Amino acid sequence: MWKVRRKWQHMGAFSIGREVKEAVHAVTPEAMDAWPGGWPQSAGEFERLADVYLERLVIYASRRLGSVHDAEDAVQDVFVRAFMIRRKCEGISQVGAYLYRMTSNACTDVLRKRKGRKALLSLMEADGESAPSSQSSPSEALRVAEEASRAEQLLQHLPQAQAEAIRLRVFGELDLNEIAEVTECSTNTVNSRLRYGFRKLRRIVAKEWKS
Amino acid sequence: MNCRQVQECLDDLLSAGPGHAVEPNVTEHLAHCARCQREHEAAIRTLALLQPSVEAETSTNLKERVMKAIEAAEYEESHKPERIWFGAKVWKPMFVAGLAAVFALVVAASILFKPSDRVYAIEQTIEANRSLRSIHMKMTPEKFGSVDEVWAQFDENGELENLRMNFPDTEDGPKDVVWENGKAEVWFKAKGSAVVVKEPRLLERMKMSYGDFDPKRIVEGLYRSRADKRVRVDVVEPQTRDGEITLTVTVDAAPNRQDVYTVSPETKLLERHEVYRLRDGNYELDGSTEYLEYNEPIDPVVFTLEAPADAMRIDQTVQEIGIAQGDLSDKEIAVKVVREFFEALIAKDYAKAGQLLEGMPANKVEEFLGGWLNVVRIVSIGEPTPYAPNESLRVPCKVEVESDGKTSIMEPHGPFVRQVYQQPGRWDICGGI
Repeated sequence: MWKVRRKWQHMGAFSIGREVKEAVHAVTPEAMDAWPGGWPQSAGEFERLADVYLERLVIYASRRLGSVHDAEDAVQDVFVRAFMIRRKCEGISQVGAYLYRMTSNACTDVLRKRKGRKALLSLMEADGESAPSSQSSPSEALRVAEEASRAEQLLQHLPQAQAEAIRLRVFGELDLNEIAEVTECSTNTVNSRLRYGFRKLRRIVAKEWKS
Repeated sequence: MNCRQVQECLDDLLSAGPGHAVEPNVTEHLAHCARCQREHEAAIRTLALLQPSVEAETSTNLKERVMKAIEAAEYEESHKPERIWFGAKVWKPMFVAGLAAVFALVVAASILFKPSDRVYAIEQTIEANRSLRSIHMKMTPEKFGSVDEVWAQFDENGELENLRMNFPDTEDGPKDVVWENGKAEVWFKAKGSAVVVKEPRLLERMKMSYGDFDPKRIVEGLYRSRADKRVRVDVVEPQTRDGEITLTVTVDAAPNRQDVYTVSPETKLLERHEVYRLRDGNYELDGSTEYLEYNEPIDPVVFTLEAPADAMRIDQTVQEIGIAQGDLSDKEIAVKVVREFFEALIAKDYAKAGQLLEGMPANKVEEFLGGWLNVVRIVSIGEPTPYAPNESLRVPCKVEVESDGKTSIMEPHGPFVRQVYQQPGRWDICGGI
């Protein structure tokens, strides 16, 4: 269920090897216009839309939620909701951007629901039940959940817009143009949000590390 | 390369992306500068904290699952009993004629196809529902955005008269909605505010929401679907004196869902509706509706919201909201609303700002926004774009705000501007500040 990959960490060493670049290109979503048509209207069109976006949205959601099980449920709900509102959205062309926004909202809802509950425990149980795979173990699922929770706690220090830009960049692996489309602002604004957000996070981490 | 330039390189790490090639002189600088080395280490640590150490692999059957869910949604959508309301003059005669036809069909069917081996027939529940005057129901589990308790009262013609729906968890926090005498009142508990509106679209939406749980509509729909062979209904008679009648409904097009209805053998009314979803080969309970009380007098207090006396109350049925559109296009009026709203905040004219913000009283605007949103200048207002989720126009804008003697640029995620309910030609901000 889980495989080791930590793409952004490679760059921290300031030495980018060829295989890292290739790996990045292999999984980085194409431009947001990977779905050139308007809002799909039939189940068949949604099937093709799923081919384009399903996996990348689940990856984005699972990094935010720390649970593939919850991420798949959330993205499934997003697709069903996108289908249900298809007539209302007929004139919308930026389907990918909307899907990312809907997934982001769905993740926020899941995280909100978890508040006040013993989230990590339930996550561990949920993943253990749903995917007893040879590669996953409760302790691994717990670790993933803890990491996601820690990342989310860190991002809570930032204004919403900066946090969202960083989530889309790191968890969603979107480029600046794509983030601009999802968050409906200019690429310059995205760039500023990433710079200032990351600078603030670095300071928080450095301070905590020091103490 | 100096320290400032290296800091800028670190700032740009996220924007540049993992494939970013770093200038060799950065590495050279890091080798000699302890301060930049610490910053660099903090950057690596931050990236490590943000990124999961292991990667998810999605389930192999995920796409299949999603498509099944979409097919089920499509099926449910296309086989939902029609929602025809009494407001439209054109539909009323058709609805009455349809109702008469259904009744005739029910009578004919009950005569022609008298059940020989079963005591119970769905027609009995259709007949029992005719005397429905009031109902109280509860839904579990609590779901985001869904109603969890409903009370409804009908007039002598069976038309919905009063309705109360409690939503425990929504984007606006918990809220209760009451519809009485053609007006809807919404009590936003977390926000401490109540809004009264008289808007046909909203009332229709409430009726539609109620329709999802309406036992009359459900049973009549079931009857028609079974007659058209679109669903399979397995009826199990009670085995004991205290037992219940159960109807298990399955649809070939949506095999991952099963609906189980429990019917009272005495009254023939629905007592419970449970929805099961297929997960890992087993049907698991997904949600249920309990039909608690039929035709019991409902205390009038139920249809009165418990908003405390000091809660903010906005009565849009008597108060003029927003500004008139005049000859302006939709986009032009949206920009004008946003501009005037921020100008009002700059001028500390909270009454004007409140009028543009859903009619919020001046003291509440000052209380909610005055403290932190100290707008000093409008930097820019962009081109409005349609925003489907709340059927509004999103007006991108930037304003300069002041806090503790420092100014900064704020970009709200809205504002969202739309036509005021029941006030044709008037537009206001409905959120996103």
